Amino acid sequence: MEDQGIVRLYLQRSQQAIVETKKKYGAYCRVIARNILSSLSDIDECENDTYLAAWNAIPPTMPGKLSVFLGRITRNIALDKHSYNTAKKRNRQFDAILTELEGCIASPDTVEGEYEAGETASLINEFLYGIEEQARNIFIRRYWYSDSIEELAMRFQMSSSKVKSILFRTRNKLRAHLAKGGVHL
Amino acid sequence: MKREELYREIGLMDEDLIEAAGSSGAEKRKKGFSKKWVALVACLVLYSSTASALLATEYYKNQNAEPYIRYLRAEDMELLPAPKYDGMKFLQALKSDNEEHVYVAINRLVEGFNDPSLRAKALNKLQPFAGNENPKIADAAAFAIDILSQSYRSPYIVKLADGSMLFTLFNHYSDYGSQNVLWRIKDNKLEEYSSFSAPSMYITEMIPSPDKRLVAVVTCSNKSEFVQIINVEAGRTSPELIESARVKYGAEQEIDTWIRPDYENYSDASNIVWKDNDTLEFEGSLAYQDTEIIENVSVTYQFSSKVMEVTKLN
Repeated sequence: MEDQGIVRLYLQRSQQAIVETKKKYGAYCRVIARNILSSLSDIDECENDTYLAAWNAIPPTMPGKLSVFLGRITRNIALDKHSYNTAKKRNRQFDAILTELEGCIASPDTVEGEYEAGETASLINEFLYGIEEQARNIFIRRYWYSDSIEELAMRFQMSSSKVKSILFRTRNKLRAHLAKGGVHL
Repeated sequence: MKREELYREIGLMDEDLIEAAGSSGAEKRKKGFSKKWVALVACLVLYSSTASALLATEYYKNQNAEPYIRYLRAEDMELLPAPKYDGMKFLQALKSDNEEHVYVAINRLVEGFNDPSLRAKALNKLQPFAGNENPKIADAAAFAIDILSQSYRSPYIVKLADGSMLFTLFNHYSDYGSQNVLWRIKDNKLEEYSSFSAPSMYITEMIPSPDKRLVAVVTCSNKSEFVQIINVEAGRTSPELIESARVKYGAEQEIDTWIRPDYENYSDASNIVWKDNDTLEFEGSLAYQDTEIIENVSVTYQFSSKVMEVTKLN
């Protein structure tokens, strides 16, 4: 079913909306959750929480791109679960992703200033639009979709070392861009 | 900001970007060999067996002669004479339908600078390309015209205190930078001043000192960056500064530091400036242990005394 049709079902408050969402995007949401969480029960829970959150959000929210809308919800729910889990239960691959992102933060130990949600996102958008396409896609696949290095190497048909170096350079450039933008990280 | 917060902020990026990345790349690498690779390998096998037979014949013919090779040049290794520059070939290539060939030809025509007749012909043929709708071709043509007409107004040219000029060709042909060859015009004569080898595959920047006696040359691969200072007039070059800083700092901080056999350093430099006519300063991201450790440092290097200081950045 097309995304428009699925959204219409949400607006009509039809339970079929969940069925159709699961059919079309269930696997997609599970992949995102699996990249962040390690336990099967957490992944199941995350997927179901995504459907519930979507049901509660639509309406009034009208998603632009349904896949991205659902992916965002899954991502945030999975991140919350990851933070809640003890170190033993956490997904180590995802921990590595968060550790990489620390490289974009000038000094994790400084006193944190206030920032508005979305303020940094617009600078990130500006940065991503300004870089070369392949580097941009690799960055997004790593830090939005949480793909592993091996998955990225296979997807973009390059060695793991090359993937790592592209990510490394892009993170450095992002850090510099955010600092220039006056975002106090 | 915590790292989890940054991760959430990344989640808010533009939907178009997320969607584009979702379908980027290939899902899976195809298994098995494609037919074209089989054909290529077959051709290589045929070529090498023919070449071996010919070489063996030559060897037996000359078996009685005593060979003496003083120095192995590239053409000696290829058993071919060194290719000579053929400006006419590149003039002809300007007529090609293939934009890549045209782009290469435009850049290579600059090498005909020392031949006045070729220079005049090239200038004449290059003029229409300065307005080409392909920006890469237009830029290349504008630069070639600037050099061949001896105007020397382009910002890509570094003018030195001794009156000579340094530049690169194939400027920014790649996202990474320009061709890794430095050209120099001195006393109205063009020469290839120096070239860099792997991993310095691209020249990204040339920064002259305030008095224009020294020039810092920044090169890179797709993984690493490198910085050297050259005194062109005296023909002296500093050691490579990023690797030097990496080794020095690693020793001071007792970090396990190794130099890779491919000389990649996975490190980079930014904010490269001349503090004075002799001292270069930059901020380095120095990588150790396969990028598990990244040290952000400030590096200063005095060219004349060869003194380097590396301090951790706050």
